Amino acid sequence: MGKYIVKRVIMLIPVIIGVSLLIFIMLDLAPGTVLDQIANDYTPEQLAALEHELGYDRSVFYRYGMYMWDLLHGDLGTSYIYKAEVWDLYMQRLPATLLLAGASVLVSIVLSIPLGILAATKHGSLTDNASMVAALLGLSMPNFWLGLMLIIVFSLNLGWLPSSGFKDGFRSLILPAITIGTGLMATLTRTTRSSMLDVIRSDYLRTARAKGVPEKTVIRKHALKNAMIPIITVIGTQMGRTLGGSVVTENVFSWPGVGRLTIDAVKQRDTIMVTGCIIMSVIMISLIQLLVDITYAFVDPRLKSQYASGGGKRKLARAAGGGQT
Amino acid sequence: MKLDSKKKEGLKQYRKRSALGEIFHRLRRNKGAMAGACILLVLFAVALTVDLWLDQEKVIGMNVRDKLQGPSLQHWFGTDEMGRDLFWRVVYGSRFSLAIGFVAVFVSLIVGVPLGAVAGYYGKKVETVIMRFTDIFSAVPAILMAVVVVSVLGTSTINLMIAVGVSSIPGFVRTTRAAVLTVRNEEYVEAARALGKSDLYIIFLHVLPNCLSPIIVQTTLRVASAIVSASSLSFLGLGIKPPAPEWGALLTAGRDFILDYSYLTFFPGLAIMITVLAFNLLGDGLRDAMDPKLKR
Repeated sequence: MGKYIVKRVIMLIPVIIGVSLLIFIMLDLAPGTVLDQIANDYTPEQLAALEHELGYDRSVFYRYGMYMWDLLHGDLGTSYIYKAEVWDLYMQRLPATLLLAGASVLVSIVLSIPLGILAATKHGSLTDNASMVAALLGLSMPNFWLGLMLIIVFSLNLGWLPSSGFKDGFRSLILPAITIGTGLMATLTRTTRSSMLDVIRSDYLRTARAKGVPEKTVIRKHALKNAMIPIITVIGTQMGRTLGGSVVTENVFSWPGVGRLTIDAVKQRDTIMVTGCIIMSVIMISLIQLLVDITYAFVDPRLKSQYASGGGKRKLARAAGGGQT
Repeated sequence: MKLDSKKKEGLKQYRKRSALGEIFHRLRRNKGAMAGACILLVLFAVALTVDLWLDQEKVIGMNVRDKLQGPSLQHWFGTDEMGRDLFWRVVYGSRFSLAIGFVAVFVSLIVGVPLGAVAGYYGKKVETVIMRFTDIFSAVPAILMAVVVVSVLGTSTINLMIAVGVSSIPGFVRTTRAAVLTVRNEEYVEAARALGKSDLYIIFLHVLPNCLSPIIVQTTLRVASAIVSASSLSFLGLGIKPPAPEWGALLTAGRDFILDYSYLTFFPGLAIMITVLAFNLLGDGLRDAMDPKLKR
């Protein structure tokens, strides 16, 4: 198990190197630098000195080298727009993003899994078709539009829930979480349905029914538990994607998350801030992936033995397959 | 006589259909997919011909006396702050949204499919390199990648298409590679190789044609997400600027009046939703119709 985790962490390193190089080069190609944004705060002499200090008088690769050297020492660098450490800025925004991501995925789970099970148990019926269309509808609505419509109904007209910000705690979380959660629904519902369909036709379900186990228990205990692996995979992927920042939804609800931090940094050409945010989100996503992989073992004892015998990733991936591509 | 025609009907069922015919037959039985296809047909017809029958004056002509009027028989979707009829603006906007969706996906197709095909066909080092690059690329969230590309290229309609297209390249690389992996060891590929055909010839004439179904499905679904991404970028102020009647831009312009004139944001969003839903329904239907597992 430990070996497996170490291997996963090592696999992360080339991705971090590659992603940061990609961001450095692309933002270097974009017109303007971070210095243009802060030019008014400094005298020309100071600005020239700063330009030299930040390496803007040299090539992008020099700056990348400087950045990597700092990163090697565990320093994500300093944002010159905010005049603060990238790490501190990121950590300030992270709780809001974590909260929103968790709540959105929860909304998606609460809506999708029952819907998926319903569709699978009534396979081919009108209910099946209706639930699949409902799930697709969630995917087809642009996030920002759904968000605005929710604001119009629940904030502006009914006045039940706040329309923006983070101040009202749980109450301000509801609308953004529904907005993102609805968008995640389609994939999760579909996965639940197809995974359940695979299991529902299996022999052990027939045996269970033959033994006289009530249908409810058959579905809940025998079928769902065996259908869980692809479902967990999708939940993990969605959690990761939401953590990367739901830029648009954060924008609609003025949510103080990392998505907006990153977008603002791109607009201000704050290369170090952008790279820092993306590196952090890469790390978060792979942490969640790791967590998901470990969860498999708890859900499916067959997989636990593979961890123990060091079966490696390939076997695990195959076992987890059948989910979504 | 009656029996005869019945017999004929029965026989018809056993007539062998071509592969394409079979897919079409199965697609036709999928009500959702057919509904999606019908909506798209109407949309295409409108988008392609709108220039011919719609008076430009209706789209850009201002009439301040009629400004900000709610939906009525005369103005189905109401009018905006300049007195322009929102319905005609949405109708005209179909050109933008469909064009963006298709061009963007075309961009990711022409880059993603060859890369995925090469990765899957050659395997080994080539595959590792391409897939690692894909991993790195997809580590950046798609919308963020699009924002970065737009900042590099500057904001314009064409650049928006490229940005959205670039951000969905990894999906095509992965899909194509996965599909190529399933056919690269087939006998007909080996036969072509034994005949001394070049790799390029084999990839394009033997391998890719047999990988079409997942790519077609992916394309249909991607057009849907490209339309959403493009309108999201417009919403973030990085896409098409408000005077142009692109749906995302219309919606964003309406946001300023959300308090009293919510219909200005409602209708453009509805247009996006219906279009995207139609593509998703069709894509889903195609996926089911082309799934070899379901073949009888």
